[in-house]
This record gives sequence, structure tokens and C-alpha cells, in this order.
Amino acid sequence: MPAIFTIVPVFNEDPEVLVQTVRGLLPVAGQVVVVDDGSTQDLREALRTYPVFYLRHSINLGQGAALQTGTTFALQQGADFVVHFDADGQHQPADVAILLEEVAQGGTDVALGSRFLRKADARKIPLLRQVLLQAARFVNFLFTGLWLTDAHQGLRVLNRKAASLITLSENRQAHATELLAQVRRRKLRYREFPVTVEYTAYSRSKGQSSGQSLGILVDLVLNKIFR
Amino acid sequence: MNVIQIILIMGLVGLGLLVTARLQTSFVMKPLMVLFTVVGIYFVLYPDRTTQIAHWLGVDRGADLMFYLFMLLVSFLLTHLYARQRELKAQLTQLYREDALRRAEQLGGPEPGGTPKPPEEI
Repeated sequence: MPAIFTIVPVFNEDPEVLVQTVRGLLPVAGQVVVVDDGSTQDLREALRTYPVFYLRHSINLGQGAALQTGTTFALQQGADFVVHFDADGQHQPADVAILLEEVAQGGTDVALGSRFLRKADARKIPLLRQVLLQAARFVNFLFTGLWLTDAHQGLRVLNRKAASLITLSENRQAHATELLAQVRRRKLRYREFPVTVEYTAYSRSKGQSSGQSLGILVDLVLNKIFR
Repeated sequence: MNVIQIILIMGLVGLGLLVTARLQTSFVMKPLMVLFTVVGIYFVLYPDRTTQIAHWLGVDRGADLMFYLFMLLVSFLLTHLYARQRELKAQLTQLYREDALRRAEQLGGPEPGGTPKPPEEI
């Protein structure tokens, strides 16, 4: 039985939504590792009765930092597969099983979810977001050389090799591009698989705002210069 | 000597003393700062000399030359500080990450209050 660890980075998440996400994950996603990125409210209390690992940054460092902390923890615990999963309820736990299966079969080191492989999934994305994501795909291509169908999509599965070789130093949102750059640099195999993302009012309010796009771009450029 | 020269010289001397005596400056920086102070005082006392140098370099006025050099210096310092700031942020992240890993706990489930198993070598 391979050891699966699912990393859920959280920051000031609505406790109800978080619990819902965790409950959905527990049956399919192995060990759930909640990384609380310095939330100002007590999320540990909400999770108290669930069999999850709970890690906490004392200050807010950013989603990239939380994913890296969770991944390091998972590797220390002997993880064979590491899953990245957003806390805001936008991902479907059923998709985790599909991506896991693909990586477990050895066809790829990294499985990336994509909202653009099925028309029905793409139609759920708000129009402005669709346009921005096309731009983000292009930016990702410029910075990483990977031409993917989606960008800044939080559901991924990595095998142990990939999880060990990739180290995220972009603490904030630019980690999504950094991860791809390292996939390329480390010559890891990657594939995209269709995933469904539910845009609720909550996930839209928690997710990246469109205005952040520019900030991500600035982070990427600075990270290139100040390596 | 007019008032502005006195102010500038006092400022330069103060800064020079602060950097060489109080701050933990490296052995390379110390002589450089002394040199900077001495040269600075010289040009405050004989401002026309800057104009001579400016002419050699193809700049009309000494004040313009000083301004250009000042811009360069400030840009360099800002970049240096920013790089340093990023370095500190990375160290801070490392620190908080290690702290989070040390305090990791297993909630609920079959072994209430249980702790994660000790880390394996990676």
C-alpha cells in the first residue's frame, strides 16, 4: 500500500469549508496534511476530531511556502505520492483518485490538473479568468518552456522522486510557475489530466484575484534576477 | 567657509565615524568609507574641482556629475539592500518551516493526541 500524503495549504479559511474539504479528502487522499499558513483564527480547533496532520507557520508566509512545508513533512513521513489540493472546496476529491492512479502506474512523475481539457470544465470558469489564464499560460511558457493547457491550477500529484527534486522557494503565488520550471530543469515527466473546478462565491473570494496577476509576474521577474 | 560647507562636512565626518567606529563594517568597507569621507570633504571645500573632473568626463557642471554619481550609488545600494532582504526572507521561511515541522501534530483519528513518527532521512 503506497503512502499518499495530501497537502492542503490554508490561510484564514472558513472552518466549515475547510472541514468539508477535509471530509471529502479523507476517504480518497491517504494522509491529509493541513498546513495552516499563519491564520489569525483557530483552525486547529475545527479539525480537532479529524485524523489529519496539522502544521502551522507562526506567521503568514504564502501558499508556496505552505506547500513546501507540507511536502517536506510528507517526505519525512515516507510519502510515495504527494498531492497538492486547495482548501477552498473548488477541487473534487474524485479527481485526486484519477491523478493518483496515473502517477502510480508510472506513466508520469507529475500529474497536473487542467480545466481546459474538457469543454464542460472550461465553461465553468468565469470569462475574465479564462482570458487571464490564457495570458498566464503564455507567461508560464516564457518562464518555463512548458506549453500547458492551464495555469495556476492547484490540483497536482507528484511521485516521491518529483516531490524530492522540486523545492519551492517562491513563497507566494508565483510558486505555480516555479514548480513547472523545476519540472523542466529536473527533466521530470509531466502530463495534464482533466479536472473539474467548482467556482463558488467562497472560492472566488478566497482565490487569486485578477489584480494579483501583475504581482505574480513581478515576483517571477524578480526571482529570475535575484536568484 | 560658508554654512552649507560646515553642515556637509559635519555630516560626512559623522557618517564616517558611525560607519567605521560603531557599525560592524567589513575590513574592505572600512578603508573605502574613510576614503569616501576624505574625498567628500575635499570636494565640499573645493567644489570647483568637481567641475574640472566633470569636464574631463564630458559633463558640463560638477553638480550634474555629482547628481549622476549619486543616482548610481543609490541604485546600487537599493539593489544590494533588496537582495539582502530576499536572503533574510528565505532564512526566515526556513526558520518558520523547521518550527512548523517540529510542532507537527496528528489530530483526532485512531490515536488521539498521537505524534507523527520521527522523520526519515530524505
